[in-house]
Amino acid sequence: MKNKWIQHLEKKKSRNNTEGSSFVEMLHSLAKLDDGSESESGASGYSGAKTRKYSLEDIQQELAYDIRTEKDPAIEDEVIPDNNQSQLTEICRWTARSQRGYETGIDTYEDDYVRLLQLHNGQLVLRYNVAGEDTFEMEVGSIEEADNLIMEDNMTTSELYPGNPELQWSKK
Amino acid sequence: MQELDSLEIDALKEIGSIGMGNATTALSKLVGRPVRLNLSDARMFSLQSIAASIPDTITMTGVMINTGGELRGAAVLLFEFANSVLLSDLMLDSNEITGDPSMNESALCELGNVFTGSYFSALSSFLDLGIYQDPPEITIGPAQEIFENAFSRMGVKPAGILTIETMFMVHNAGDGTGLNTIYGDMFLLLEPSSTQRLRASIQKLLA
Repeated sequence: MKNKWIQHLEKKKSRNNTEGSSFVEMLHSLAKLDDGSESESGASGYSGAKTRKYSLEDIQQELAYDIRTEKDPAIEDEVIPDNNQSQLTEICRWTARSQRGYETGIDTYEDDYVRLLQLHNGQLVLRYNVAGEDTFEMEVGSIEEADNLIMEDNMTTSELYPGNPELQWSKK
Repeated sequence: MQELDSLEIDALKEIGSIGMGNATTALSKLVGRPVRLNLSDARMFSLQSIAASIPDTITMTGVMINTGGELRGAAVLLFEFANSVLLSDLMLDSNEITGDPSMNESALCELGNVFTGSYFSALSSFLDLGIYQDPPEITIGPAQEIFENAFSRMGVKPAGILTIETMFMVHNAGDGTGLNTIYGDMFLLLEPSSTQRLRASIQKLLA
């Protein structure tokens, strides 16, 4: 199984030839002047004196990155093989109040949850269902490893949200 | 170089996880977003394997930090370009910057410093090794070129280089309408002499 990062990269389409030779030059080449016109690209075209503006949307368009592929069902199927649903065994489940709901102040988000599943081939995976995120899963070698990962998640959450224990995973 | 046995591989992966646990906590505090570790791996570095897994049509951003002292090598933080811009925006607390794009580069450099500083601090304490790091350098291009540049900076050839790789994800990075998860990969590249030093430290711990 390819890791999540490689799967993510494979969603990308080819870049075009707008890149420069450095991070700054490339970002500059993708920026637009305040009047909406594209700036000159390349080192010689860069001057910090002019006001420029960019957005991630522009950059993704320039890089021919189609964010709609984030929802490409074929890719989703590759990440989470739905045809294995009937052969999954849920070992345990943790839930937490939706962090997204907390951050946005919207109470209608359902709780986030993570399930420890055993696949038909015996592999254990943690499958995360988090509001605002693609479902993703992580292979684990044992129930103890899964418990440790959840504990690490909770440690990170407790540092980020010290006054909100409801955002930490609790076993159901 | 002597092949790694499975016990050493497990120990190296664990060391990578210890370093990254510290580093991702620091990153999480820095950008105010949840950061999750994913896969960890330890193996001998292969440019062919990198080229095969990341197509050269994808523009990547590499944040490279050379290390010295008792662990000589380099740390390479690798992101897809748009991901790195989003990450730098989080550092600058904005998703639409007006002005100088070098601010984004500086933010990424600072992120690299904090991230690898936390990583090496954990390794240094755990293994009782003296490690220092050089200032970061950022390059963009295909992944293979970024690593070739890293080896050039290290002044070594890729053969015999050990890499401890750990993937991580920054969640809730966007506004929910587009790119929302940042995917990053941290590679610790170690020169053969430092790999032996690391092995000796592991043996000492296991004794």
